[in-house]
Amino acid sequence: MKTDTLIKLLKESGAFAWRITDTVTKGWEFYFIRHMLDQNRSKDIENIQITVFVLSEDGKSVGSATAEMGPDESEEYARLTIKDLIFQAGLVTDAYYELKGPGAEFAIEDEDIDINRISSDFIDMMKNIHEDDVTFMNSYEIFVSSIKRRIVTSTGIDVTEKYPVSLLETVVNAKDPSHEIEFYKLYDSGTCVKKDIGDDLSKTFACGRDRLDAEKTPSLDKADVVFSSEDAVRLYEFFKDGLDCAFIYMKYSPFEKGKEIADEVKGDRITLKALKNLPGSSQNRMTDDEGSPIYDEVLMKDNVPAAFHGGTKFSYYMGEKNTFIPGNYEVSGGTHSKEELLAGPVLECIFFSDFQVDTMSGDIFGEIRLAYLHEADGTVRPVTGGSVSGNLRELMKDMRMSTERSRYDNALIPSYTRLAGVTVTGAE
Amino acid sequence: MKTPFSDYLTSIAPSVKKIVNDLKSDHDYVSALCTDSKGLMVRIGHRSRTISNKTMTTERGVVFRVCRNKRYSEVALNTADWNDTDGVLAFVRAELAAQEKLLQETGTAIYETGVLDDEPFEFFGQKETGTLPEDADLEKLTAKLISLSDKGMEMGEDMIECIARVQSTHISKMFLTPARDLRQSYVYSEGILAAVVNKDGKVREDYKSISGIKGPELFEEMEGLLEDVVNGAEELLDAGPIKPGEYEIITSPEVTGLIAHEAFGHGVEMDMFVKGRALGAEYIGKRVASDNVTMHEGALCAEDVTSYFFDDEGVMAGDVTEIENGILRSGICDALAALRLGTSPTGNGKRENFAHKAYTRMTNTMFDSGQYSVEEMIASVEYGYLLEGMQSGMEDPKHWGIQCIIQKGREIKDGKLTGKVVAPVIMTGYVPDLLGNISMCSKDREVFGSGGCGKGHKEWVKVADGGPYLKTIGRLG
Repeated sequence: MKTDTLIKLLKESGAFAWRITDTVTKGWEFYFIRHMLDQNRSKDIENIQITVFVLSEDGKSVGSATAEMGPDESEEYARLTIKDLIFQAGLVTDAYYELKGPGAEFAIEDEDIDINRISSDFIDMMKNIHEDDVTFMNSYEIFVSSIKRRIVTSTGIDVTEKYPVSLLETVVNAKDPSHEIEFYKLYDSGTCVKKDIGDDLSKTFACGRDRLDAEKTPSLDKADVVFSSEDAVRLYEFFKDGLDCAFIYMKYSPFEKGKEIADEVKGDRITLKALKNLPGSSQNRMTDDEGSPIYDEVLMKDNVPAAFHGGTKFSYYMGEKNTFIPGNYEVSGGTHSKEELLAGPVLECIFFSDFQVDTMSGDIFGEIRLAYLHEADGTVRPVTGGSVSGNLRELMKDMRMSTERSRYDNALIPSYTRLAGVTVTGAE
Repeated sequence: MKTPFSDYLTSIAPSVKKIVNDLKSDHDYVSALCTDSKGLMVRIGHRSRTISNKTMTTERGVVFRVCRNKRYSEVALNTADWNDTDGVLAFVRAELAAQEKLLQETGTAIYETGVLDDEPFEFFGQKETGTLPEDADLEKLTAKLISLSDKGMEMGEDMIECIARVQSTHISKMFLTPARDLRQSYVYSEGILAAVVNKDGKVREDYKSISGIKGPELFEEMEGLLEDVVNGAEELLDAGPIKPGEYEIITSPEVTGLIAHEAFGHGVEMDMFVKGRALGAEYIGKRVASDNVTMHEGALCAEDVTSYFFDDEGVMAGDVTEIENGILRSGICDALAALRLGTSPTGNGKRENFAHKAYTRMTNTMFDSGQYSVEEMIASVEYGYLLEGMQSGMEDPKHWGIQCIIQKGREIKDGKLTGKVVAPVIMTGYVPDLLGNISMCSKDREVFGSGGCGKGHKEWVKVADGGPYLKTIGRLG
């Protein structure tokens, strides 16, 4: 099934509007146990998604229905699918909205993506990771893809982009005569960002050694907690999601433009900016998943929402015209040094089992796998077990951030984030 | 009726077999998993509605697996013209050769593995179903879901959204080797009702779900969930935090299932044994739980969303007794891990879809029932909590740590529910302690199949889990 055939069928269908997303993925994968190849895989996948929009008879509501189809479907199948979609869309109508037009014109480079070379870079990098008798790679999995995506809409959008997406899954072990521990990490990126991943793995090895000697986390009741690893991204996603048109329209988020997001703020104030490009990110695109152009835009300045982001439907409902779904973002506003933020007493959490922030309620949770307890006298000791919990809507009132920043895939955030009054359940 | 098998797969079978046989000429093992699974998803909210043919498991494609020189390789594709078998064969061979060249250039060592068994075997299984997702009466279904959502909105004064989300998938899979031809088809469905409330800026959500190896007729049962869902969300608005500490707890079947899944589901996936990532390998035949604990895993040990006839490596479904009266008996195993460990596969080799690698994965993970009523169990608690509703979980198979995020806890004092609710609750601890303290199990049990499971933080597959109410001791925060 050719996209141009689908376009022809959709134009003939009488649909109010339509969108086609045709994604071709060519990927290579390599799975390792220690440094021995467990399995190698290749994939060549095309996925075509069609969304049809219909207008109600009174012109006051719009419904949409979506179908995915493989590239080998016949023209007759596509014709019947579109007919079904028009019927289905009429059953699920929402308040009226319109698709966006093409926006500003821009040039898209037809980048040549060599998955063989990127795979080779990953394999070489991992073979040369410095290990020793205590810390070593247990296993890792390398995923490298070249993705070509074309988005066409009835409103004149027709953009084709080609981009690399890579993923490295690592399991680092550390052992001594009494026991062995592991740390699990995922690295999303465009191509192989050797230095960033190598540096982070070196830190993970050091953490592994400390985890071997870690004591049980004491019960601290309410304590100051510093987030100094990728888990801090979950904290900042709460703010990014709170600025999403869908969240605001659905009343899941109370954020309003021009009004500070919290009262009685004692700590730093957040500035959050969407970025079109962030070096090393897996999310560098010219357009979002609906074909809307992405650009740099300040979404929140000093805790005051300045602009909302989001997809077509909810942006229309919110009266936002030039919105997009951001891939990359950066957070600034920190005023503190690392030393100030790690001044004890404070619990610096490095690894959780699965740190989570419920972006609707603001609840945070995580079982501690490794943290450092910084005492007031400057002593530091590794601890493990127990958990942190609390609610970010309250905790953000006393949130302090470092001026130093770190990039985790598509997010450039403060390297150290300190929250006061977090509940710490001990493991003792 | 018997679930129809995909006409598409039937039509491509001769071409795929030809390619499999050709590849066999210079490989020690060749198989092809072919999939064609169609679905239906309807999501009705008060402010946003959608409908789609995509679910978590809809897919169409083929993955070829080959073994040569003790190395396994796979090529997955959906771009093939099956009338041009020479062209497909040339593509597969070119991909295999290109990757082999890279592995040679990088001096990559191979984890050598034996050759999978390929004894002749034919199987054709079709599970019974009421209707197919492709044939569902969408006009009636959407009207019913809209009515449910509207009713929900009227039931609570703080309601800001009531979502009815249903999906149904018609699975067809075909596994071919030079000697084997296995085909299966079945339908599974799942539905979720969620209520979102907002009071003075405090937003809370609760949900209930149903699932089964049934067609869209399953959704008739959703109306019975509505009152509990709305009331559940409303009571979360008044729920306060729990005082951190260790408590006597009673887990509802949903939370029991989460514990089963995280504790001795992931903990005994035997591809983790191959990598030395699971402590369970050292505990086979040893005590890991109290006498009251028996646990099963397998596509045959319950009828729910992942109760297939054979897995994604062509191994017939099983029912493994993982824990018997507290003693760890066995893990679950995919085909390649079984070869490496010198054991038999258990029918647990699963892929996210044809384009993903097969790993050892769970199917139905279930605690066995006991002899007590829930009332007797509550009456036995001096001070503690009845834990209800699961949000998520995570395990540490290397250290047997567990994290369960639970929707709410109901306070129990002197053997009675006090009416006080705490939320949310995070339960953490050491698995043998948690299972070792299980002192009572209820007579009845339930299975839940509306969720998904990742391997680490990726490779999402359908799973089901459950069991009875359990009484144990847990650390809550």
